[in-house]
Amino acid sequence: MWSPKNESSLTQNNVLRFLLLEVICIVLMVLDHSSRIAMPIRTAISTLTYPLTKIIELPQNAYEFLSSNASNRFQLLSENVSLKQKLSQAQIDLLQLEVISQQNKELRQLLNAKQQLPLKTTAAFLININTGDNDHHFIINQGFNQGVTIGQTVLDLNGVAGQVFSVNLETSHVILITNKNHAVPVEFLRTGIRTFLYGTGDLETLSLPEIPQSANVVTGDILITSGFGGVFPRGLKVASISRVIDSADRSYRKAEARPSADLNHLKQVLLVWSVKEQTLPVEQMDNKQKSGQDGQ
Amino acid sequence: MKHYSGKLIHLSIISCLILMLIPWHAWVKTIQPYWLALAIIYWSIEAPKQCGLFTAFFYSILLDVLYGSLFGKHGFSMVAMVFIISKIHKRLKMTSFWQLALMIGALLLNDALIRAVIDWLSSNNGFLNINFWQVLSSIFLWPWFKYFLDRMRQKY
Repeated sequence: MWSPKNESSLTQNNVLRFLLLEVICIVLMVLDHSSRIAMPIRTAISTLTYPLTKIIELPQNAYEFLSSNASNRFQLLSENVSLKQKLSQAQIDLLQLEVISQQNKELRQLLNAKQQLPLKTTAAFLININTGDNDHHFIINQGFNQGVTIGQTVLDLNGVAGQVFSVNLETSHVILITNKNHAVPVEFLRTGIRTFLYGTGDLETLSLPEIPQSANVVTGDILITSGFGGVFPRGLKVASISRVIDSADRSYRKAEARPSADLNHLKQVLLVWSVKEQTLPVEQMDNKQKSGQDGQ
Repeated sequence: MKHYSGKLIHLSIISCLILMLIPWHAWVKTIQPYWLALAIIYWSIEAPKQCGLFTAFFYSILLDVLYGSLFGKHGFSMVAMVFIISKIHKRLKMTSFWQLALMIGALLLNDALIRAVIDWLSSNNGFLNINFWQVLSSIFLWPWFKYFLDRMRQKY
């Protein structure tokens, strides 16, 4: 039954299988760079993994159910009071904003630019978060079935948290802006200088290694998305400068920034749905103006 | 060659997959053992006919989807590991307990190295980053893991 001949044919088969599977893996890795081909495969396979993610969610859901049932009346009342205070504060802010947005509208009309629509967002909840040294990403409970697409911007209430980089059937993976492999095109709110904001692998720090020496940068400067590259919509708050570093010979300047989003305590995030047709003309015009100013 | 219940094999591999997904704090995640590899190593030594290259490929592709990592990264390293085991599994079955643990350490280190190289090639980080903690904790866990599965196998 177990003759040497059998064995040799088995091992030969094994070598073939091994080569076949490794080639498949390499092809998959190469294909993964184009989301158009890889995404349907991922989505199909994620139907198999869906029960597993549900099992992981189970204890979390049970805990939330229990804690919401167990929280007493006093807690709820005090929470209600603080929420009301926050709401009234927000309403006052909104009142001021309305005036500003009206002014903005008039200015845009003067400039003959199209109106920038307010962002359309939906809420999503975190299922799992991974903040290892190499890989900062989290998983949210919305996926292909909810119409999520790769590249969609994800916000926290305070600022940009990241972007969707892989979509499964009912979940999707979001890469954090602090991931080492992530960069956001940003501009300084105060001066309008454009640069890139890179992740460092640390949840509290982002780095800006490419600031022109002539640029006026001070601690506390706010960075917003510049809308370049077409991934992030323009004008979302990303981070604020925490440290400016000049090289010894003053030949270059770099800075560190702190993300505005509270990445340590993410629980609920907002998915941004693009309204590209309306915002594009505005962006194009802005770019032209800016490049004229910068003399590029 | 003894035939083991396929149910036990797949159930143990799937439980290991779930163990890998539990959300932990960042530093726990770094030292979290590579459960899936442990289960696949165990079964590809004990039941090479039932847990071969295809099983390893299938489950590591699932892991890639669940982790959202580069598609085929875990698959590539895992298939390579199971292939090496399939070449030497008779010898592995004969070796002493501690020698086996050492061999598995070498296999896991090789696996971690392959994944680090893939990461290095596919990103622009500029340096190779091998997670030694994961390898160490996996080696440390291996004896208990093997003992547990041996007991389970005798029962079912």
